[in-house]
Amino acid sequence: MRIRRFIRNLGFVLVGLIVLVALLELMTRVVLMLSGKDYEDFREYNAWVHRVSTAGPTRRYDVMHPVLPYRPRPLSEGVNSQGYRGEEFSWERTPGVLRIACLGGSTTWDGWYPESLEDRMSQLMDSLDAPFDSCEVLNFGAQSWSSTESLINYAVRGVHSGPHLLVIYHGINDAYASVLPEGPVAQPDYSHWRTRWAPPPRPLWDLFPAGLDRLRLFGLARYVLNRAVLEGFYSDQLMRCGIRYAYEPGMRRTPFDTYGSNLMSIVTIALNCSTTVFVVSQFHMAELTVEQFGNEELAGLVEEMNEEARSVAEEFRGTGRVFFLDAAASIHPDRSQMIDACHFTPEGYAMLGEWIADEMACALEGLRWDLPEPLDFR
Amino acid sequence: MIGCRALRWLARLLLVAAALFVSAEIAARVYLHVKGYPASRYIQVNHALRQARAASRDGFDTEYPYLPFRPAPGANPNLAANGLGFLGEGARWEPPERTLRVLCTGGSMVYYDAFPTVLEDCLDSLLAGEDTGYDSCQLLVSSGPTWSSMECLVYYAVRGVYTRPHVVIVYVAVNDVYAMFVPDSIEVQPDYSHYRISMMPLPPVPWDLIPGWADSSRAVALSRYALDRIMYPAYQKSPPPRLGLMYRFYPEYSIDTTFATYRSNLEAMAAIAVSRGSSIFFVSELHDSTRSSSPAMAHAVEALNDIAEAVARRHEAGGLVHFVDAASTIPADSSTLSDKSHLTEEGSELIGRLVASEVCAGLRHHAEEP
Repeated sequence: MRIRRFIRNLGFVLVGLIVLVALLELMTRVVLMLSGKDYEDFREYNAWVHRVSTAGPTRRYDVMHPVLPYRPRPLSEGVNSQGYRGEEFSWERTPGVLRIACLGGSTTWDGWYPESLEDRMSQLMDSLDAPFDSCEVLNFGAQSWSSTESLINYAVRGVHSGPHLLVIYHGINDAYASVLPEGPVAQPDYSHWRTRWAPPPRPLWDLFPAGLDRLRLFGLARYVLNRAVLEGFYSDQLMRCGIRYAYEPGMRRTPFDTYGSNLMSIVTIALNCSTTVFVVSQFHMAELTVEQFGNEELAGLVEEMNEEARSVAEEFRGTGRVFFLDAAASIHPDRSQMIDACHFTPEGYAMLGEWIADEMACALEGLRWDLPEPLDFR
Repeated sequence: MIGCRALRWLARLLLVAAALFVSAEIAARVYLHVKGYPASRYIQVNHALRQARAASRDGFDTEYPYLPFRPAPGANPNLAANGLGFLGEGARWEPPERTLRVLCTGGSMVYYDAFPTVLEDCLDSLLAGEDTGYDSCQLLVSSGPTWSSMECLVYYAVRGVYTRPHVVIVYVAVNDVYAMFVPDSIEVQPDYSHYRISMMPLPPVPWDLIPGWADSSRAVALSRYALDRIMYPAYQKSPPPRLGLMYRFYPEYSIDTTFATYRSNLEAMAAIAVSRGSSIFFVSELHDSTRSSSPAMAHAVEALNDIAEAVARRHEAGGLVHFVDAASTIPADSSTLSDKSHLTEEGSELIGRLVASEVCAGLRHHAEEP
């Protein structure tokens, strides 16, 4: 008798729950229809959360390096065993080979400018009777690296390759990092802008099977919880390169001169190792920035970075080993040679690389190719 | 009457739970026996993942992009953490007026031991009695347990320089030695990345509330393992190591000198400090050879101390790079060291005083605003 009553009560409760869920589901569908929102967007976001929170670290990049947020994964496509784009090289310099190291972000990582710099420099060395048999360019650039990553990479890894010459081509990523939205506190090392490139944590409700998202009620509840827990993780950015937020015009400036300080540190470390430095201003096509963001603010920021680069080079001019190459003012690509405001087509990059090689050769002629043997302290 | 019935129900419930638990335990043991898997395999993975998740509770910031980890505010009970990312009282990037700002960097000897606070006290008293242009001293500690010269260099280059320290003190050696001892199977990297990776942050999960010792029950260990597998399928094969250290030191490992990483790091710190007009003091590290992990380790620490001296000599003409030979001046024995390298109170006192007097002597020779 008691059991039967218990079963009856349980049945009532279950039916009540089912009716409640059905009603809520109906209401959710009506609300979605009235708001005109596509439920698939919510479902996709939930699927993205599941994908990225269970996939582990990204495969193309090494995100476990102890002092860099990420770097190209050694021996991944186009990357050598040292974790740099290009062919294998030995940390030891080859006698008679002029070694040039290029520091930069994606514009260096893209590879075409360092390649054309190497080709052009080799040709020039033949014609100028330089005391080197050949030239070798090491590409120390990586996508989205700012001068902070380049400083660290050069200080803890790059110096051990003992380059004769160092080329620094930065600007746009530092411009992005030098502005921030309301909320975060500005940090001198750009850690307000960049964090580790780690996958987002997996929420507990992600353990429920994805099939349950067919119920709008469940899918939306999961979406709301995901959004609440993963605030700051953008599915479009996918925590790309550990960047916390995307650039928008009108953001406030950091009070720190991080770019200038980083350049100064790179230059002093290089000079201490008897490496000659070429600081190159970054070309930026302002009209393309206007098309993308509606105003020239970003172009202005890059211009400020270039001015900073000029003044750092100027400060060290007395050493006779630091040169400023004003690519931003000297090269004139047309729009067909640009992919966006700062990335070139292969032809555009070739023009940049050749221009740098010409200017560099000119400076080295001025030094009569008297380059000291770089120290690697071994 | 009602209380009696409730107790009976509770007893029944407990009995059922115990029976279920015993059945699960028997099932887990039978499963392991049949499969031939040792329980330790699961327990170790559970332990490693628990440790990775506990990193934030241990007081380490594992979100910072440019270090394997750094102390989070409140991590060190001896020193208050400030908002600048260092241990110490300074809360503004600009040094206060007429205050000598000292940035002290190193590994656990700087992080845990009392040497930096003794140094601060000694400098306070010395500065009060001298006309150096400073009335007092403000100490910022830039360190973490197991930090080598690489972490010290990076944090100084990207963050420390903005505190505009007048003086930088570097006390690091043995952690570099650990990184220089390498198993045969590993290819050495100039940035010690063969030895260290970043400490990967993993968020806590509810089953972390069950204490680690409960894993001695096979049922608990396997359940925890299964839940971790569902939660972190990618990490279970290679759980993030504690403090990011890839392997432990064994005396039979050989020392690798392919790269002069220690020297290169010190050279970079010296170059950056000089370019900013800061004085930098390399302090040789005390090491008790009788308690060292191996004779080779003791020799290696000595060799690194010599390198620190050589770097200081190379830059001595500028007057900003100094060497303080604590290792030769202070005896390394049980009165000064609590193990092979960590300082006792007396050791901290002696080093603190020695460094403070050298800093004051340096200031007399070279007073410049960074």
